[in-house]
Amino acid sequence: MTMKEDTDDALAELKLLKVPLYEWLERREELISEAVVRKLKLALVVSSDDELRFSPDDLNEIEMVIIEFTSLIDGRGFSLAVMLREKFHFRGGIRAVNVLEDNVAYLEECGFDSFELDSGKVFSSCVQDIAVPNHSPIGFAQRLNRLKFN
Amino acid sequence: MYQYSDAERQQLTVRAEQFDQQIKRFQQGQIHPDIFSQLRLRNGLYEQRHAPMLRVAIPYGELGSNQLRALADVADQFDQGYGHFTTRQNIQFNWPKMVNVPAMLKVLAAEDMHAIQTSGSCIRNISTDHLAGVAVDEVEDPRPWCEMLRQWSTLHPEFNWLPRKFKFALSGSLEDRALIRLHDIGIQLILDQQGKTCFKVFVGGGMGRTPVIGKEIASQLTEEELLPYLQSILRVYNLHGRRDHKYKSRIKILVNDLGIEAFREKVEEEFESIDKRNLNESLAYLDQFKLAFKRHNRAHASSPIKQISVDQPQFTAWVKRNVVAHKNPSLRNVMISLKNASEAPGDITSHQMRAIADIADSYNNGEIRVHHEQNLLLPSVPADRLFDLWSALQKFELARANIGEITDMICCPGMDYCSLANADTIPLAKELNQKFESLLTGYETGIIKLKMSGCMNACGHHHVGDIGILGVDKKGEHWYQITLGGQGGLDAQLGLRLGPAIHRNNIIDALKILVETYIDLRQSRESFAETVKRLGVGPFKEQVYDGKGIRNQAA
Ligand code: SF4
Repeated sequence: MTMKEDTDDALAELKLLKVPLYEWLERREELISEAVVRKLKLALVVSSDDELRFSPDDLNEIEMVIIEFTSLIDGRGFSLAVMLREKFHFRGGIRAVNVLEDNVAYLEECGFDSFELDSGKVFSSCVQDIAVPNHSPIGFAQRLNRLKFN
Repeated sequence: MYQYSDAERQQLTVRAEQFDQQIKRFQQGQIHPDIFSQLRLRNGLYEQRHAPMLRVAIPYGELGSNQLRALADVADQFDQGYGHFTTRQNIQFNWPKMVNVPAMLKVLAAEDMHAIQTSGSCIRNISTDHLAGVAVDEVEDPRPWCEMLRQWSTLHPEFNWLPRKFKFALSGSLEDRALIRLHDIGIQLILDQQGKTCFKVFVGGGMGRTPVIGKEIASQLTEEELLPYLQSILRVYNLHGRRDHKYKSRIKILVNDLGIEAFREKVEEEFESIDKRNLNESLAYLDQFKLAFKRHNRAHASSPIKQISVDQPQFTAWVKRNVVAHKNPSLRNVMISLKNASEAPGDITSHQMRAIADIADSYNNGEIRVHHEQNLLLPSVPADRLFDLWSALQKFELARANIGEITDMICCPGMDYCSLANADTIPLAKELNQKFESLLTGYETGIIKLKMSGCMNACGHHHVGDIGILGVDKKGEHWYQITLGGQGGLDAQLGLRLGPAIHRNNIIDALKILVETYIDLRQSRESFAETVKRLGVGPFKEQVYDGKGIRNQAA
């Protein structure tokens, strides 16, 4: 089992200022100061049908990207996470919201490190190096045990 | 053949256990039926007209005799003693019980087989030329690359929830026998000026209700560029393919909407940023894959060449129709027709499966291939053993000499099994066999590729048949749309409509008229396809609707 239940997540959430992507793109400076004043970390909320039209530098102040899946069978969020890791070199947390427990092993490999399931359960990953998505055929074998998540 | 590693074996067991759990959770009401259907599809389990159907993957159509025996066991233990080979080189079982599926998967897993990603909106079984590795016109054996793509695409974390299904086909020969331009991605292996392997890539081909011929997106990718490029195509499709409409969600629609240039631009933008080193670690395995396929071929290299001279007209006819040249002159490739007059095209009994497994063991090291035209192939049979092989096949009704002829039709399951069907296909195939007997014994009609689909989804490949038949529903009655002149290959073409749909009662007569018209009009050794190409649809249309005149209505 590579997941642990994030019991103090409710607390962790309190320390986050969640900002929808469009707002972030519109009034970034304001939001940064707001976060400083309120002693909060910034979490960028992206919908799985959003396009990542910004530059890697736009993510400098971001602690976590929260990707909200529009449905349990929407595969776009998987690619967004891979792109955040590979293309934007984002090293903060990436959370998947509204996903199936059956998909956690796949999500983790795409670079997600915490998960809010459709059932409401919240988990974080214990995998050490989440920075590089691993989807080479070699990863194929290494993925085995993670599939035992159920 | 490629042999699974222990890790791959373990994975199949884990996956079967996982599916077992998912079924239990579903039965306990813990998974919503809509979501469960997505999970079951990714394990090859469909709902059909009468019962569930399990589709088992046969990667690039290559089967060992031990695997064919396991399929026979599955057919006996969990089904009604037969299986059905599909147009994508897989096999389907039509009568399993859902509760038995995990047990079926365990039997299969023991012989390195599974049903992972044989359905659902994900990357499906990789298909290829049935003559891969043994074709006379081969430039490079595509199977090591098929195997690499199989590993890359199996449980791919990013692409398990695509807008729709996604199919790959590879070809390594001058002639394309794998319909690469009618797949979501088709790959042709070529050699560059230095003799290094390169890849020409076609994208956005497919049949279905909007048939499209794949467009060239890359003319010459290197080995190092291939996987990153494919990953980029899939990512662009995953992000931008339509998810709002089932019939508009294949990649062909996206490519057509954007235009191939704009689509290519998006792909190349992704390609720039992809971590190529990570992906290309798999190239280190290429030599191992190549060896897995080569070693097998070498076993026959020293067989002596002997003339086949048996005075048996039936045998001679079989050699002419069913035996294909091999790149090694002392070997032959033997097609086994699964188009017997009384069975559904592509069906095979467990008894026949075991017989073929035994025959393969004694004639060609136990290697069997599935052809997308729903027949089997025994590659690399010593040329001097053909007569014995023919005699052995005859005992099991497996020596019908009709490969490529009109009775060797492709046929989807249609109304007999499929819940999407508009019309019968299998009964049509059986009737055609009965009614054409005298016509076919009187004339040499040669190759006529007849392909039948029971609905617009085109699983029977009707768009690329010399004669294509599409079932349509008119007020609950079965009617059929005929097309002529379709073909696969690098110069693929979609068939042209003959005229208004034809009623079930008249369709066999209409087909007869088409064949008779060909016999009347052909010049010397011209094939059906060549005659249609020379004269167009016109003369055929005239004969069917006016000349010989069928009464085109319900009786
Ligand atoms: S073509 Fe239609 S009827 Fe035939 S198998 Fe496909 S979906 Fe079913």
